[in-house]
Amino acid sequence: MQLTSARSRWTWIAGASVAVLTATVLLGPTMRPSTATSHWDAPATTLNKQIDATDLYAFTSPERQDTVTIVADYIPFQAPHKPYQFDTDARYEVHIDNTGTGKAAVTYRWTFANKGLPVPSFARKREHTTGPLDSLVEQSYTLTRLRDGKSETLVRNGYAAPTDMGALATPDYPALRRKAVVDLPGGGKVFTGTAADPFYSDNHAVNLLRFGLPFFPVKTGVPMNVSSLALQLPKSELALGGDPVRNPVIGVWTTASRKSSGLLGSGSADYKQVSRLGNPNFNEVIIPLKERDHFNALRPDGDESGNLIVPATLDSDQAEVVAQQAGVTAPPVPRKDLEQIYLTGLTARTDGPIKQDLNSHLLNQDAPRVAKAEELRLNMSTPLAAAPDKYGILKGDAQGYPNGRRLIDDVVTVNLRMLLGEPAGRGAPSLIAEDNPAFLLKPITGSFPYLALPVIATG
Amino acid sequence: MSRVRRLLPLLGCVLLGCVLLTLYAPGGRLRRDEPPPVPAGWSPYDLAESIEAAQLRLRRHPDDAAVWASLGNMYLEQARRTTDPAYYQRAQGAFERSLRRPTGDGKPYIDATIGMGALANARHDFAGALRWAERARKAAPFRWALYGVLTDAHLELGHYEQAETTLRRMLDGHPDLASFARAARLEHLHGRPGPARDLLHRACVIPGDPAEYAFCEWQLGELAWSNGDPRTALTAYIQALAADPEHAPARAGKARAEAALGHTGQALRDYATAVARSPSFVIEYGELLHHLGDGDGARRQYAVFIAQHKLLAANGGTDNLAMGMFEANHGDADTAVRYLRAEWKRRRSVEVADALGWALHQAGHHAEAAAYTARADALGGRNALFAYHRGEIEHALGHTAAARAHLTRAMSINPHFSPAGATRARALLAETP
Repeated sequence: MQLTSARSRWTWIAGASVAVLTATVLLGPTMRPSTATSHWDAPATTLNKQIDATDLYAFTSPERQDTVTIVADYIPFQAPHKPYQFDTDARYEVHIDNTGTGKAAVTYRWTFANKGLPVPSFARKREHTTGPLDSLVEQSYTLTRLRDGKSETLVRNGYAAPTDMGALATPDYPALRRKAVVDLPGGGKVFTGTAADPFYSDNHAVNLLRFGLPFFPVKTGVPMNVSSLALQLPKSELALGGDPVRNPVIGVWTTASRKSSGLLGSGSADYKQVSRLGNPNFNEVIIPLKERDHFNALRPDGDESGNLIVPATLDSDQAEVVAQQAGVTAPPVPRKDLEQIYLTGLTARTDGPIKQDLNSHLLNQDAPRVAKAEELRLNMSTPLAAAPDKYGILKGDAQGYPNGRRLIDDVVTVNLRMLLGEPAGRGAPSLIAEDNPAFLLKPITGSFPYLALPVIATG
Repeated sequence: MSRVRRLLPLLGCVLLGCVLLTLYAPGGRLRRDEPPPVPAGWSPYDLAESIEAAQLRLRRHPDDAAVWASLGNMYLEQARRTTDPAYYQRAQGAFERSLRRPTGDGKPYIDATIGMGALANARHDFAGALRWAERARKAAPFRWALYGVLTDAHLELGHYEQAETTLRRMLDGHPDLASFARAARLEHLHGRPGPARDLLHRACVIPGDPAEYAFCEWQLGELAWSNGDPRTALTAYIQALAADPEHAPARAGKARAEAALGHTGQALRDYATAVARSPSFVIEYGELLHHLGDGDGARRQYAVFIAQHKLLAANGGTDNLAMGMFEANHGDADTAVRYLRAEWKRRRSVEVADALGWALHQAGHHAEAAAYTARADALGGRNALFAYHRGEIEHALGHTAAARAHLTRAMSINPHFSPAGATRARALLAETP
């Protein structure tokens, strides 16, 4: 009975196993003549895949170091060859906080329209055989930039790359990928469309980190696709005051909001935020299950004053559960180290236990007052690592997660180890063998959007 | 043969279990918790596979309240998909195991609480569902699933204002398929087919898997059907079946629409398919057979209905409404009144008001009947069957003009509302010029 949440695919699967599961409900007689069991059969929870943010990445573009690449992935577990659509009644947004107040200084908003008749993503039983309903539905999008109370349209009628449906439906797929990469005014780029899911993790780490959370029966790093919203933006466009040297730190998060509906002729049909994602796993691991749906409706600028995010981070129930399972000891509460990692970023200037100037907004010279807010914080001035390590700062690679997040970072293992006390204390570094083979299923490419072309069905 | 076919999924689970054990068992082929190789065509939506995996995990971690709750919900979903009430017992067992294991905060695992509410609704224990859902709301007011359970319970109990309040909360907090579908139902109950259709169209473009999509299209079909448009209904049912060929309600709907459009042979074939998947539709199938002159065939279907209700009762379910309607139409009117009076004590929904009124009429208590059937129209719904019942009752009371008005209304809402009923309504209208 998991509800949708901005969450990594695992929770999502919990959703699957539970809700796909469309947990039930019933009913009474409905719009039909009396039947033996007068059931009105509606799901109490649904997958809500279209607004399910699976992952968020933010990193300095390796071959254009004056830019930052941000990737927000939605709609997990897309079977190869099958078309999926964004929700045309939703707004998909990427927010940038460069002041450290939890407020978005810049927001990039995608909205989608169908070209032709919509065919739902999943309109068939057998996912791996193309059927009569699988006509390719192209979607176009509008990209809008919101800042200083103004909105500018950056892309109109943009081309969203469909999935690779074979030579008949999508001939010369690489050309479609190229067509979906669009230049933005001011030197940026945008890519919108289907790509191979870059997420991977060590399964043992997943099982440990998720112990006692809604169950998912699946393996991570499955060869499936996601729908990506990717931006490559000049650092000067994102930095406070347009100056990435003085103000190198930004906080990033992505949200999806869906248009609601009135009822019986009254009530509002406004957009409601239904999903939120900053740091990977934060919602499912740090936030108690009861509040997980709540988190999806909250904005970072309310995190500090709200009575949920700060206490949940300082006193993580899940740390105890995980430590017990792993047969190690969790650090004592309050977890000031987790607060630094997820809510403020790292800096040696505060009394936090992690003494490292890395990605706190306090490192911005013009930041007025910094608030605690859950965001994925990136220091845009951190130099590119010569030899990137998938365990990021835990292995001394300052350019890796939680300083932003690269496509190659094993965030599940990093989060697990941080939950158990690293880098502030000794933690349990040997819990997951560092030489394990978990890595990207499909190699990323050398240029924007870096994401591998969609997986195509084999066999 | 059909038994073998029914057991195949089970066999599949067992085999998968063996495979998983081979892979995972100590000394098995996979190190640690590595995933088994993913077969081509693997889908994370496979219910049987998910259940198997949950059971496997529970063998290793019998104290995991979250997994017990997930398993309970998967059993509930199995009950929904197979209409086999035996899954209710299993769901209850899993939820209870979960509830006995306090979680990190020392409170019951919230999804097990909500699951118990959903299970109570499934068993028509709507008051119980309300209690579970309210308990969940106190503990976790932002766990949206509970509002679905709450809304459904209120709608069945006839608490239309509370249902509306709950739904508004749901729509404001989390607009999605679950809230749109329920909102459509409420609009329909209030006789507003346009908004109901808009909401269902919104729901239809956001499903996450074929079963959800089939559900939405089926609801669109039901809406079109009940508003007298069998052709549009048929299209929607076909869409639903294209997504999920085993969706029995859509199959039965398709049969109903085909019968209305005069494709009798196809209708009978579809009904046979539908009742083989889910006995819920034996009554309407029987009524069509009876209408076509096959009395023996109809009686066979009714016998299935009786047997099914014994099975349901054995699994802790009751459906006085369905039993009462059956007795009123095909059995003993006094028994029908008994069932439905009992149901009316439990809940005062428009459906129960209509059924009790109809049973009273069949038992000869026309004046009392009229009072109940009037309540069935209290929400301003557009329901052809309710209107027809009122027409019959007014006719029995000798109120010719009122009878005419109701019968005319019934035929204008949906002239195909039931094979026998529509024939009878036409005959009555013909004899009272």
